[in-house]
Amino acid sequence: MASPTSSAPTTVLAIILPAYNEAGQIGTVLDDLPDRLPGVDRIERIVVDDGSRDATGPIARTHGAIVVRHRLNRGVGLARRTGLAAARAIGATVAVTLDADGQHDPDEISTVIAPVLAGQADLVVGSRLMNPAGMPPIKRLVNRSANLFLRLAWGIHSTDSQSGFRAYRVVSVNRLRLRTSGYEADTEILIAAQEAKFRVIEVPIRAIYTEYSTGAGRGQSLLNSITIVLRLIIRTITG
Amino acid sequence: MLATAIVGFFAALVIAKSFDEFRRGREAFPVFLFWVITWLAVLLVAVFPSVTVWLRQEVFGPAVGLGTFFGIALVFLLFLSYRLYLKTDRVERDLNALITQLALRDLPGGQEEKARSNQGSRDQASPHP
Repeated sequence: MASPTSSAPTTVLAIILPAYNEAGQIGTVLDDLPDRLPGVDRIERIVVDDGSRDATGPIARTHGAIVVRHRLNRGVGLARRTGLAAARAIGATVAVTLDADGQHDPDEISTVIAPVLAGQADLVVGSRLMNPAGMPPIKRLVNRSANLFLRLAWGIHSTDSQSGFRAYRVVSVNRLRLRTSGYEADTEILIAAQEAKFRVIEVPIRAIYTEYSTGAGRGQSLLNSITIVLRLIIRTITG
Repeated sequence: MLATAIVGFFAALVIAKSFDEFRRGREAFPVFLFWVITWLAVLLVAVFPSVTVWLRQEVFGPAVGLGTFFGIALVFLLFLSYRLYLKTDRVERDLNALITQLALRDLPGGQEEKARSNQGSRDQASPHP
């Protein structure tokens, strides 16, 4: 592994996978990640084991990932923040977050990170709704409702505010004021990005819906969306 | 009668729990005293509802109606909820910071130190890491 303090400027990409009880899928997801990408000198895989009760962490480690473990399950939002802190610590210049259940296509990582590599964006959101073919109608409804809420409440236009497939310019991440730790973090990041005057770009991505990724307890329910809205309102009121 | 029994049950429950916490040294004496006095007062009103009539006539005066009592109680409850929210929010933030710092210790040698210093400068820059 090259030293992050090496004098030659290198582009290091950290692929961050927040994972909770994903032992059944994490190995396959890690194996499918690219080893090489144009414009990237080194790729590191970081799995944030969010207090899993199964063998997610050990399996990820055997598949070559750097594993950092939350001692308690705190939610995907905090797992992403921990992943971004780890990315910065290992000297990454660009970070990309993916879901660990295999719903994101690793071949599209290069598309998502391209605007950051080109210096055009601090944050890139991979949007499933720019081309929603194959997306279950209920998920479309939930996502469009969340987008509308974001637009009405904060004046932020996003076609997919709930996407977990995002790329970050790592040096900019410390400017984000983030507090939430659950699914509401996806929306909070967009709000914080607006507050920090980030350059945000959306690119179309394809979401893969399998029996596994849409199984019980995965993704967001309509009821969960109400909790998310309440938490975001409280976040705004209390600063 | 039913209301009195329910209030009595909850009063006994809270006082017993508070006494247990005090006995184990997990609750300060003033806090224990506060809960005992509060719930005994609630129990007194439940057992002798005429106390409220006496209070109104002798202490507050006829100008103070039941609506005022309920209003004050509601404001007090909202204040308590707000205080509780602030406290849980602070505990949650501290817990999140702690869990992240512990997780970053898992990084390969040397990098954890860098992560901690990054986290430290971030904490100074922002009240909400």
